[in-house]
Amino acid sequence: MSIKIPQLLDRPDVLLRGNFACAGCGLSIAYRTTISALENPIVVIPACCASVIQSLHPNVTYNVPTLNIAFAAHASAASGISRGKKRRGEKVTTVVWTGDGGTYDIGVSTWSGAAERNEDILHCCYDNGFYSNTGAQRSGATPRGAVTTTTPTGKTEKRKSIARIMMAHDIPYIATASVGYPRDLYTKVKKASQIEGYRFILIDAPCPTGWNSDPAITRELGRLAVQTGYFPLFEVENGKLTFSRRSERVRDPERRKPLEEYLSKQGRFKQMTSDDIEALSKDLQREWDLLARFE
Amino acid sequence: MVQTLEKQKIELLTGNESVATAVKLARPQVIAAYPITPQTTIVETLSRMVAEGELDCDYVNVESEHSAMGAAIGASLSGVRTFTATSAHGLLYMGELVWWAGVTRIPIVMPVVNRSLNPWNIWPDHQDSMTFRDAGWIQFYAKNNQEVLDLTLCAFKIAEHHKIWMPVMVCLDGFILSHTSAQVSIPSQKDVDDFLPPFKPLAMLDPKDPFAHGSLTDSQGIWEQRMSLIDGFENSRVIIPKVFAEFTEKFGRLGKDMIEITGDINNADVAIMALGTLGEEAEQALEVLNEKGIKAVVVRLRVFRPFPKKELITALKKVSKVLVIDRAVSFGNAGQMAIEVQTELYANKIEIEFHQIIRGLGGMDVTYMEIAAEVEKIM
Repeated sequence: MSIKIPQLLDRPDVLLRGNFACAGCGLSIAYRTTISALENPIVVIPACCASVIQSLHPNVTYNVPTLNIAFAAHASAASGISRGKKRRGEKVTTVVWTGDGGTYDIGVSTWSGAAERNEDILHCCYDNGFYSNTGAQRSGATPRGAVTTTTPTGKTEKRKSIARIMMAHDIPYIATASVGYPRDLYTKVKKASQIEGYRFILIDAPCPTGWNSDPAITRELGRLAVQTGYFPLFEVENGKLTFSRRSERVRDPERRKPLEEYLSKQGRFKQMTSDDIEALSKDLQREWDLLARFE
Repeated sequence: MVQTLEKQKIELLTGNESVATAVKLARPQVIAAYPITPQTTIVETLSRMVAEGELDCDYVNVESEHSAMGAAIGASLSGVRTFTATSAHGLLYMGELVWWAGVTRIPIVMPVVNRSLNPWNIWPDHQDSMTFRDAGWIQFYAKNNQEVLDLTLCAFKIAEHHKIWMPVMVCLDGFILSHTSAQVSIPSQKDVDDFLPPFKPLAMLDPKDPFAHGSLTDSQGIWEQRMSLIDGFENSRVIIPKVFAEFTEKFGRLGKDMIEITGDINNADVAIMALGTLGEEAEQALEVLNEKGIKAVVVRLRVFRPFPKKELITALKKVSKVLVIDRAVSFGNAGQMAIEVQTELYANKIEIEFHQIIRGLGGMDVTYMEIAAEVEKIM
């Protein structure tokens, strides 16, 4: 499928002007790209930045039907919508749109149940690696070494592998994507939208406000995350993992850009020593090796 | 004046089977539920009905009560009739979403099979549902299996009335009703269809008409929504008796009032107030008291939310004493019903003797002899 960037804006009106997103917000890019790719989306949003940036009731900047629901209730509410709409004979795409807190931490039970039932839901997690909405607290997605307001000296544990946990549910489609490569994201969303059942897309979405990075380089940070091997792009179909072209290219650590290049552009990693970077680097390689077992 | 067109079947049903039978007749399109004692046989019966094709409905086997209410909210907003059921800890676990459904007005019908709260005890009291009396739900308390079936059918019609559009909790005492069989009259499907037309969404999630439900709201918006919810409850005071009256006319039982008075209120000295099966137990005490020359009546609230103030005051004006028996406690104060009855007495300047007791916690048996003895004490 060949998609030109302007095509992504076929439906430029999915996210309207006047929303409350910060400058350089990765979530906004992820949301626009994803929702633009979908036919008749109904979006379920739990507590996260996406529940805040839509503006104050009665104003709303999401131009698609949206259900805001409690933090740990996204996939269950989406299950109800998906079942109900099928009963009514209406063809819609039921989307769960969560941050990493809602997917990695508090909402595991709700999505795991929905995935086990193979509900017809497209679950998208925009991942900025912490609780951005409440002001930068640690989440299960926070990488080792990162400073957050609840890990003021840097997180001492590794980041959870949500993709591998999701893979254990044997759902029909899993992909990772990045706001650094919107075309790749768009293509994966399109592909997912043509599959029935529980589908999951993890989207790397930089947060300049919480990462203490330049809002002008959000997409560059997304690309660096891939080029340094920090955020591997892949798809899993029927249990078989395929690294996407850009990540396949950097499978060999020798071919990756230095991790420091990615870390040094973010205030949250500033205090890391070379030992800390080494430890983070080991976490990342271990994840690559574990993922490669599913190829 | 019974207008029933078709003969009603009489069957021996437990309280939980009465719920399931009513739900089947109401034709919900999505049921999402999680098992918990003593609610379990409701969801087991409904699952069987769906599996055997008796009920054409999507049954969502969720992984928790929190998800049961989440799925029910989603399904209702997709534009279909939705049902769930729970008890005790299940109700607490879904609590966040019980409030969500209440204050954002999702017309879900949910029986709460009353059971005591922690530590582990599976027997009945009203602590679970009383904990949620402020959550924006209409609350019914049934005294027997027939009333369970009747109130459940009415609950759908009331919840979905466009001037109400709110969730309804039908409370029934665990085991005393849920697992005990009694004769229940079952209306025909045709008559129920006539009484309860298909679900007509007042608002739903629709790609053709996008809106955001439950979004970030400032204090002005919250104020407007809360005032609208209060108005909804005021509307329900008028509509609930109308629906009860329609049911009564059609099926020949139930009665139109939000409270049920047993005994001759115009010739009584003392009123006994109790909810659910305790109310029915109190009815048995009337005969014992009568033999002792005590003229008593039972004033039972079938509807606790909205609190039936007017009906209650009309009744209590006619007696000189009232004994309120609560099956739950508002810790640090008193029984919830006692507190609310006192408020109405004071607000309406009704100076009658007020007595309150708390009984039956954790399933402790309360006999009509004990109730009679309590009444004797205050005479």
